[in-house]
Amino acid sequence: MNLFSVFDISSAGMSVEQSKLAVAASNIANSRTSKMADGTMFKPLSVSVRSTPSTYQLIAASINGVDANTLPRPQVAGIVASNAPPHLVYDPGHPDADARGFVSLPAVDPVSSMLELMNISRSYEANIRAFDITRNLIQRTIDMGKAL
Amino acid sequence: MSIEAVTALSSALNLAQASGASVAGVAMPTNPSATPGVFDSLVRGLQDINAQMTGNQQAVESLAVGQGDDLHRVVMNLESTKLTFDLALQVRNKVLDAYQELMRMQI
Repeated sequence: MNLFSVFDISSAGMSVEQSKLAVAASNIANSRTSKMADGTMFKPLSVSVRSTPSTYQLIAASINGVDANTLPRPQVAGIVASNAPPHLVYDPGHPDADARGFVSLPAVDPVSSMLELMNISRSYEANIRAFDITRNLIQRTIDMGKAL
Repeated sequence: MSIEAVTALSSALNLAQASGASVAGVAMPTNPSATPGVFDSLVRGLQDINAQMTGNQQAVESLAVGQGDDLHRVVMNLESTKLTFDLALQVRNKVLDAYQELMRMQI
């Protein structure tokens, strides 16, 4: 069990939160995108996260103690598009308006987007906190026995 | 004191090895034929830290010109190197204390 490998776990968590932040920012930035370059609709995206090994494998392997190197680290498995129906906004002058004058805008909900941003921020901070505590504990351990 | 001088001292200081090795926590020399001294492991640890510092410097440089690794990874590596260096410093202090203790011994 090496305390330094706890850094890698926090680092993996921060990487995942960064990916989520990028995707959330893209959703917000594209909330008024009526059409993509290829003519399709923009679909709100979300990140799917997977980690290995499974909890059962881990419990089976932990008989001889915990090895931080084998603990599950979150990893971005891919991006998933939401199939929520688009918002219809009446704007007859818009170049992408349909025959009735409605423009389809992506189903990006401002409230849930803000909530998502807040969750990402808190999760990222939590990972930083875990890193800080690990660092402080290592520092305290090194200073152990030092005359104060 | 140069590193060569420290290495030369190590053979004379094998007495203190038992206490020093348990403190060190750094990788002991892989060559089993030569009896490793306290300072061998310390020098090895310092070389390791030096390599880490060079890597960190490159990472920071590439970050500064707008390319390269994740920011948090670079900062974590910097912290990691700092802690490793602190550990080596503490080992060095303890080894030096032990050496001075030996030198003060009444014969």
